[in-house]
Amino acid sequence: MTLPIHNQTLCEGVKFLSLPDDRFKTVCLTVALFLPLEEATASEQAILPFLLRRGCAAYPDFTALNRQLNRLYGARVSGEVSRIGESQVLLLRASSIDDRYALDGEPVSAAVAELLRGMLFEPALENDLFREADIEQERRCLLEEIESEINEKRLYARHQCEKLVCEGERYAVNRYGTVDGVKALTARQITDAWKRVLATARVQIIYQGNQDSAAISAAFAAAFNAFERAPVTCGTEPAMPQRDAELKNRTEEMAVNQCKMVLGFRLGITEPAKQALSARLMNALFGATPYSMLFKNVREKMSLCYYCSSTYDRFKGILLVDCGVEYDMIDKARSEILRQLRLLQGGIVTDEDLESARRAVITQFSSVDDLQSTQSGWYLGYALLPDFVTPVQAADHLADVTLAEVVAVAKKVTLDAVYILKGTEGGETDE
Amino acid sequence: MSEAVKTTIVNQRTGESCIRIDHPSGMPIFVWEKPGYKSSYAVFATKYGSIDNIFDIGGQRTEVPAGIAHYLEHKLFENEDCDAFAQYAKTGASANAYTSFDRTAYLFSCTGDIRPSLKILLNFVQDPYFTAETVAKEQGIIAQEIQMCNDSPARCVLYNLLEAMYHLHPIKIDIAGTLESIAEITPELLYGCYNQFYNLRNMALAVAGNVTADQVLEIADKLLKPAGEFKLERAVIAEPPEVVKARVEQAMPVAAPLFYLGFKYPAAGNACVEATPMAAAAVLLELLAGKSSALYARLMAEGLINPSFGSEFFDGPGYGVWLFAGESRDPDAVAAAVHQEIAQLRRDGIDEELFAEARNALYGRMTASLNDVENCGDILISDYFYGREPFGYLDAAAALTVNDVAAMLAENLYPEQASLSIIKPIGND
Repeated sequence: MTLPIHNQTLCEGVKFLSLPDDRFKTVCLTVALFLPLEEATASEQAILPFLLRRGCAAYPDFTALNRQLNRLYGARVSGEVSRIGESQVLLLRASSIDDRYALDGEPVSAAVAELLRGMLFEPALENDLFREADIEQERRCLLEEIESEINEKRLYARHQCEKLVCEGERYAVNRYGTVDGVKALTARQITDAWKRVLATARVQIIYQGNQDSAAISAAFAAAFNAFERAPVTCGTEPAMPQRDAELKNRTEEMAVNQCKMVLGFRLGITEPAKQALSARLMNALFGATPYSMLFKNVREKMSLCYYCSSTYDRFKGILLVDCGVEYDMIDKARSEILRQLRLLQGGIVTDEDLESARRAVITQFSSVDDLQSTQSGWYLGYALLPDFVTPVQAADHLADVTLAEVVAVAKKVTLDAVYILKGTEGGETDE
Repeated sequence: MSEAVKTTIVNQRTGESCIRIDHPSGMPIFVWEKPGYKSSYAVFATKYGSIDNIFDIGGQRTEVPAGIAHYLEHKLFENEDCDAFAQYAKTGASANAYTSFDRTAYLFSCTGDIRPSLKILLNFVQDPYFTAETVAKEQGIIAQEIQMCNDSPARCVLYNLLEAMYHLHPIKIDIAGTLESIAEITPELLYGCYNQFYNLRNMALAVAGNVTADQVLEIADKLLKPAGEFKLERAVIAEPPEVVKARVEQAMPVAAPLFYLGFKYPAAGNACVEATPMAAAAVLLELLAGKSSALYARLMAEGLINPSFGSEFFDGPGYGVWLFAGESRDPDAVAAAVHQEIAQLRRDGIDEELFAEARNALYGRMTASLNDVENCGDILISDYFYGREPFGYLDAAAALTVNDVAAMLAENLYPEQASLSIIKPIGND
């Protein structure tokens, strides 16, 4: 996209980004509310998107609301909770087909945007409180969401390692809150949290589509202006305190066939530092492509794993390497992962490997604008930063990153914690 | 340019079009040009999946080890001098492959000029290289993939269901095979299967996005040689209409029980479901159990389902499955409620207004799915392999009638066609 990106300020701490595009069949509207991720408020805030998604004053009944969405050509609204750096991000999204494709030319997209505004600002309340029946359902669903983390072992293992690396930091707080916190929620507490969030969250609204967005931004501006806005500070430079040098280890047993090993590293480089881009390239080179050092060696050469890859969280400054491996091969896999890291830190990397990684990341950046989901995800990442960088700009900057810069960030990658999920006969035990 | 025959297929409702090229090599090529997109996606696929471990050549039935199509997919990435990923590294393409019940597909997405990446794709898939050493090397990797799958409750709940539903049809066999079956795989077996199934007359190429038909033809003409006769036939399995058992359970480390309630579709031979009944199935599921249904609201209110609850219908040669899936403290109660809802819909008939709303939703969601170039490529391959016209499903959705849905209901979703698969938490007896 070559159009200038303009992030319009609607009121204190509320921004509206319009990304006009006529290629898509759909119009998408995303409202993201950024809040500090804290255990004390995580639960009461986490339930909000799910409660708000249930309906609004105009459609207080869940079934009636979903019938209306069907009439609007299968329009979708969703409530989600995400984590970006140390922020808890409450998301409400709506998407519908563009008016051009409505069979009878109905104004679908405006109706869907209005529905989303209604859900956020005019929920179905009773005596000025969220309704008990709604709360009970969403409380149960949120508890089941928290508890079902254990079902997917790879994800579960990664979360355990993150908690180990970032123990005592906001990043380690579950974005959905805690079981006890969710169980204890009251209608008053949730309603107060809703009002507080509308007054204090840092808000990024993103509109993507082919219709004029002026009416939508005006409606949201009016709605937010009705609050005395006092936006919170969401840290953009997360705390990365120095750790004592001792490596943290945790092994958990569960009735699984395959062992999961996750190595957690700290590197302390986060957006918007220029080095974050070098770190993204370093991560691709190390373990994020099928021609990365980890894939080529740990998987292909040594046949130890089906997956062995690295991920870098550029909003927190940590890097995880995770793999699924036979328990008796753990040491071998770990030694090889660390040996590959040392090679990278020593700059023992071929130009060809570096250029391959660079091309992979450039392809990834260049494809961002081709899907509304990746495009909105890209810009949400910049919501708390001073400036937007477009995918095209990022690809241009990436072209200039040198091997020396990659090696410099690799040298900051320090092993902090090792988490292992190993098999046991029946039952599970905790260390 | 070659003597390829080009046909443009236009969809009036969405303004989208694709080009079908009948290439002299014997393989159809589909190109969906998407102006304005930066990325492009190519998928080169063969009608060869996990169900093809039993096949007929000249009336002779042959059976090969379970998981061999998937194993072959892994090994094809390796050529004599260098692997395909190393070649893609030079173009920056993001490449992958998958094996499903009835197909093996090799794919990539890239930005910029697609031709260098397309060349790699067409080359490596047509150039098998298997030795005892390279085959042995893959055993460790695939064994870990199988172990990973064995730990996935979402996968186990599906395979347990298929085993409970199917007596004979190889859809009941895990796509990746087992640790034992993959140990039987040899280079000779891989070459044998390759030569049988990787015949261009059994394959198709679809490309979508930032690409032109001429670019695709330029590479195809260079790299696709006329294919020999394709003699092989998918075995028609005499699968009984009823299920093997009504209920199956397994204990795994999960928080709450997961379930799949499946209903067997009465498949006729190896033909796949056409576009109109396919659209009817989607609308029927929305009416029965979608978010707008009375059942969904009731089960939510009773605490029996959560947002993971959903339904779908999928089919392929000789099989078709209706699924109602989710997480529940009491899967048997959910299954009973679904059966009851189906029976009630049979008695009451389909409400015209609800039908019109669900049809609108299906049409809208099909239209929305055309945003994604990867999805466009995949739709083209699926439609061709399943004998459906490009855009046929979209048009069928827009033109669907209540009678189409009623006809689907009349033949499906009976209790004797159903199995319930449950993954229960360990120690939760």
